[in-house]
Amino acid sequence: MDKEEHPGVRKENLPNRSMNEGTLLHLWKDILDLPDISPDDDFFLCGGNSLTAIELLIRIQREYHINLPPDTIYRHPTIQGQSALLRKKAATAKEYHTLISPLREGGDLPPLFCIHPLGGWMDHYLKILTAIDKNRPVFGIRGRGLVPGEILPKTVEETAREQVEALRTVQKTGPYHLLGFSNGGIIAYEMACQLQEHGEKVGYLGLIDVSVPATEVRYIKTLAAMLFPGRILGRIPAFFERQLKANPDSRIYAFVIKSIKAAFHGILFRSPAKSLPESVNEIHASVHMKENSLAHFPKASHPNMKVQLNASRMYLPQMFNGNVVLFSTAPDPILFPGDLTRGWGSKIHGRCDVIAISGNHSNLFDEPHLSILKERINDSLGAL
Amino acid sequence: MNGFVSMTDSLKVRSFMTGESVVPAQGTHIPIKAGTVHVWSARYSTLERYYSILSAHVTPEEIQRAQGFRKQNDARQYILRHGMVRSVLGKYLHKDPQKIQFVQNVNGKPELSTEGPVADIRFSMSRTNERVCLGITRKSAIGLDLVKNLSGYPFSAVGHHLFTPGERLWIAQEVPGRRSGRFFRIWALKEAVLKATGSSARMMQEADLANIMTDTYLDGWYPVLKGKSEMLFFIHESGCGSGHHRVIAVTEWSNRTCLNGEPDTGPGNCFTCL
Repeated sequence: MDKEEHPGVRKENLPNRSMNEGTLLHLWKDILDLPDISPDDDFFLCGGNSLTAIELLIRIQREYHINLPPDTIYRHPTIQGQSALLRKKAATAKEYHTLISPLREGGDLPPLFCIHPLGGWMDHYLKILTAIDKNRPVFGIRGRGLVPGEILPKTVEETAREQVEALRTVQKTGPYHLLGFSNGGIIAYEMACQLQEHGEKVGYLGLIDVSVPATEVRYIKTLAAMLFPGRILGRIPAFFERQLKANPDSRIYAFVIKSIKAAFHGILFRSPAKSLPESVNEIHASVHMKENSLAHFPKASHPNMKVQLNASRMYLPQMFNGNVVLFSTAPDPILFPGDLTRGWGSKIHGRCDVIAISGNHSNLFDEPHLSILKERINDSLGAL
Repeated sequence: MNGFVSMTDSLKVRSFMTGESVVPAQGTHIPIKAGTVHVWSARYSTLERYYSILSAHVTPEEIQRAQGFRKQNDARQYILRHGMVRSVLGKYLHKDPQKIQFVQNVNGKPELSTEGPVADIRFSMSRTNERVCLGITRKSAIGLDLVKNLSGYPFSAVGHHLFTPGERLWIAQEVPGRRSGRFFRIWALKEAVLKATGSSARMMQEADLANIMTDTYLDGWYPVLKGKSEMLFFIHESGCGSGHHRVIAVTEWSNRTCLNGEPDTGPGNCFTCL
């Protein structure tokens, strides 16, 4: 029973007793508004009730990336008891690669790997767990930078390389099943390409609400609009788009695009990839992005997110030999007018199934859209 | 024989505002018939006036428990509500309040000991930091929950954790400013249903109320999905001032389940839980 009800325990997240108790103490104080709490105090004797018990439970789950039954606080009402429970879970947890979090273990079907979106967390995927066949294990792959001192890869290719290594510690051979939301979709795509390069099969590649980064198209359009609005240069993006669709394997095309991209990074921005600083703390001045696009994320996570965003903007997707399922809230009329696949169709030798979902990019994991997304993902995986 | 025969039976809910009435005159007896629910409710500020009398009704064990509270106000409220429960139950059981004995069911919920002349009286108590409510009936299983709509409570995260997709959808259909009201209605309904069936909070995700929720307060018989089975409950919802919401849920005694979802055969008798 415990194994099923407490998936996702990470040994690294469950350190020693004093660290556990310190963290729990902080959570208790925050919820109960009591300045002086000792480890053997009873939560309910400190003023806790059923509403605050659930609030505490959720805070513990978030802190330790762990699932606990709703009556946990009733059964373990002291900090000592809760700390012991967390240590017990840690002791019985399997060892995984540092980037892997088992969101749900057990089952005979090939596991589904969910790749972190911008920021590196996997919270979104916890919301869709119930829609996925209980016979299919689900693993999250987190981003670097969540643990202090970690250095973030500077490119999508590097990120994917490390995450493929992590994934293969869980599943040695294919077919692999990958799912990625937003920026995680871009990484999942690159992982799928790299797995194929290693001779592995990719059984499922699901991308949730993400367009091909299309850095080159974006840059060309920007410059064209600046210099010759509506004139010859304004037609360049369409020209390259046509070329890409006509001959997607063209090395010349790839060369031209890479050159344009490098040139534009040199001209427009002062932060080409090679000059990215090692430390995320030094990144502030080097990133060319609108601050308000991160406004709804915690400030502490902005440096990591900026590095990840920059990596995606520099990414030039290679061709993938297989099918893609795109869960899309809407087409991308700016970058890919008239293309429901949002650019993915031209990047693959295979079929791109576009599955419409409701909501928008920021609320598709909230109800009522979440139920629809879960249903669509379930149908899509069930069709395999 | 249960108090309810069919869905056409109407449950009578009689409310008492407690003040002096919770302090029984010697020998007072209140009869209650099956198919009737008596609801006693009081503000702590009212009960405070009778602290000396109510505190005399509680047992030494309850006094010891009260002394364990970190905040003095919590300890005092504990004494007041337990004194009130004993005082009111004493009227129905025709017993000295302090001599009333409780037993814990397999899920740790208090029930009246089966000894005594009115062994089929059932009760359920709930409280906030302002009020106490006590529901009493006969033969059937009762659950009562009282909740206060708290601004700033992370209802969205809690709803996601505990509520079914249908329930979350029903909340999301309301305009953002009013969603917390829907959350607390479902919360209280779930708590009341779980209390009536003797279940623990572990079962909260299993009770699905999505199909019965309406904009108006529920009052009548409703089928509630609990796990794989459907159970019939009499549900009575009401607002009771200062942002409080109260739910009474009554069902057949045979619908009670133990910790593992097996039929509850009485305190400590469930072989699955032993």
